[in-house]
Amino acid sequence: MEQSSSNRTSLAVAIFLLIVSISVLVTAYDFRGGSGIFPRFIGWIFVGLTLLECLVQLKANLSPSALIAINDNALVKNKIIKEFQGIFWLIVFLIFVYLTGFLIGIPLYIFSFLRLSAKKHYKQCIIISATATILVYVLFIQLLQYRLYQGILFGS
Amino acid sequence: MFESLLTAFSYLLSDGINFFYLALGVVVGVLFGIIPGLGGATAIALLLPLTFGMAPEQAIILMGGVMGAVSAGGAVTAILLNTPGTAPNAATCFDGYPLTKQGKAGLAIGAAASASAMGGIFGLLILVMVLPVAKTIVLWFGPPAFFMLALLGLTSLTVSSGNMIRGLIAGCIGLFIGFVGYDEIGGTERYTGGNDFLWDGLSIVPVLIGLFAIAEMLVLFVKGGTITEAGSQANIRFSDTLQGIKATFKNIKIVLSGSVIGSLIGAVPGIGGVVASFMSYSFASQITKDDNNFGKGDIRGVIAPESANNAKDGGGLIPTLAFGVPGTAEMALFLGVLILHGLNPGPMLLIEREYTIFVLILTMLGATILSTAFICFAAYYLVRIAYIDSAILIPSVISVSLVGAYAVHNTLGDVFAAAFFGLLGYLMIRYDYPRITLVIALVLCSLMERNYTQSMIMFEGNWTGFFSDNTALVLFLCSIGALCIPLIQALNKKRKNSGGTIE
Repeated sequence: MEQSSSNRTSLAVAIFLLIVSISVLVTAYDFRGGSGIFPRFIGWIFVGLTLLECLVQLKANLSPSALIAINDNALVKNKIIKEFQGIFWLIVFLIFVYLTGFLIGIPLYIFSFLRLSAKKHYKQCIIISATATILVYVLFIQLLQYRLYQGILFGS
Repeated sequence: MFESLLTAFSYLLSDGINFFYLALGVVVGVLFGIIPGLGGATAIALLLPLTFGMAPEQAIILMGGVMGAVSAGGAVTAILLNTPGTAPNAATCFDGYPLTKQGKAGLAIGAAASASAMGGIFGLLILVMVLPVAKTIVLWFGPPAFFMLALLGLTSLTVSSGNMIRGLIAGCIGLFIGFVGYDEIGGTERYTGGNDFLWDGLSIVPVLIGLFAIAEMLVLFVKGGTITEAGSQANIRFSDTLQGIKATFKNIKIVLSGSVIGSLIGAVPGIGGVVASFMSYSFASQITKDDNNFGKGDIRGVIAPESANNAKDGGGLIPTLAFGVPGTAEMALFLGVLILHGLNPGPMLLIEREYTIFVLILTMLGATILSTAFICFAAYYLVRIAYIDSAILIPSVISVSLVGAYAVHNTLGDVFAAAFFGLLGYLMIRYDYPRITLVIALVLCSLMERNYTQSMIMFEGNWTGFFSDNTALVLFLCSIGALCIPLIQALNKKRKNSGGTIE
């Protein structure tokens, strides 16, 4: 028998939020003049609510119903891996755009994502990445007249 | 008044180009409503330079077309992708997306489009009736009442989110995000950590893109497959859309209550469509006793926010036209269009150019009906978005959304902010913290702070002064009532359950 990991993480989130709420409240007392009036008022409510959430989660963790057997370890592990992969691909997009700008970064990102993550055929990868780039070009550059970021490698 | 109406009507029919401007406004409005992160304000800003050579009434027709159509367009992505096209469509996600997952996207879109149209027509009727007495209505609201109204909006949202403590925590997080930046009143930098990018605070667009578009794509990535769980392309028929329209007529009470809420909330500057649609959703959920499946794919959960969402435009025009006080960013831009064409909003506009006001009202009426027809016919094709392989959809949506985030201020910081809020949004979904409470709190932050500070100055620091203002007191009691409703319902349920065993 093992304590539910879901309950434990919910408690961890509540504790994290309690720390955040205390931090923002303490910081609010440093603000000069009228700048701190409303943040302090909301800060106290925030601390109270997070404390209440901590107590609710603590109670849930200590209750007998929280003690359940975990038989789906592989499923949980797989979900966590997928979550990290999702975040990884978001970071990849940011890196591509930062380095090469939107008009080069977008096709690079979509092509890499489709080829490496979704294992799509080369032809499909090229068509989709080109279509998305053309859409961005027509909508944002031609129609809306925006000057998109060109990246640190190609930007002037 | 009737004469002005006839003059406006004959003006609209006098030239074919007027219909072209109306149709252009509707198409642009629907498309900008559909694409997350763009919305009506961007559409008006984009089209504003085109109006330079137009007559004032023609400029009004073009802008009226956009304003009347954008809300209806925003519902499409809210239903199909769980990503509201515009912020006020967020409440439509709660039941629209579950319906899509059940293979009933056509039904939801038909209901949303028809509810939008009916709400829009109702809102415009309210506008016609209320304009002469508009000044008195808005003057009821002083700073304490404005603060309490915002508080009521937040509490209503929290109640409808289903988890009161977590909803309120999310609200507090939203308010603290709203505090970020330089505070002009106190002359202090707040929560910037010395970062120049945060000096002006966080823009709402990257936050919305992150919390909705990016977070949903992360959810979709973890889940895999397509965004719809049931049915196949063969299950989607145009008749589903017609069923949705029928469902709206069947639930006319919900449409009317949503339209009243939308018109009233829309008339109060700064509150806007988000609060209107959520209040309408919350109200419909509370008055629905039979087969209440709100949050799980109830068609009434689509009808209520959409009717309020479009009705708020009529209400929103009251302070904009009568006092020159815009309630939303969209209205502020529209005000700019009027001024650009030599029309000064205020009581004199109503007296001297009443027929111009009726041109706008008739245009928005036409736009509402045209956009509904457009969405109903296009829905047959639009619903197919739900069956695209997520592997294709994810990188495309992330790319277009993050370019949209960049386009707001042309800063890469907004792209990183959207990505950060995407991650935060995913974690909020994972740990069951309502994202929309955070967003509303963020939207209302400056309004709440300004009115709270003004009220405290008025009451010389004595917070009990809030209860000396009658409107504020009523709104405060409504907030308390809203918070008590779930507790009363839980107690009643407990009593009913124990009724069988305890004599």
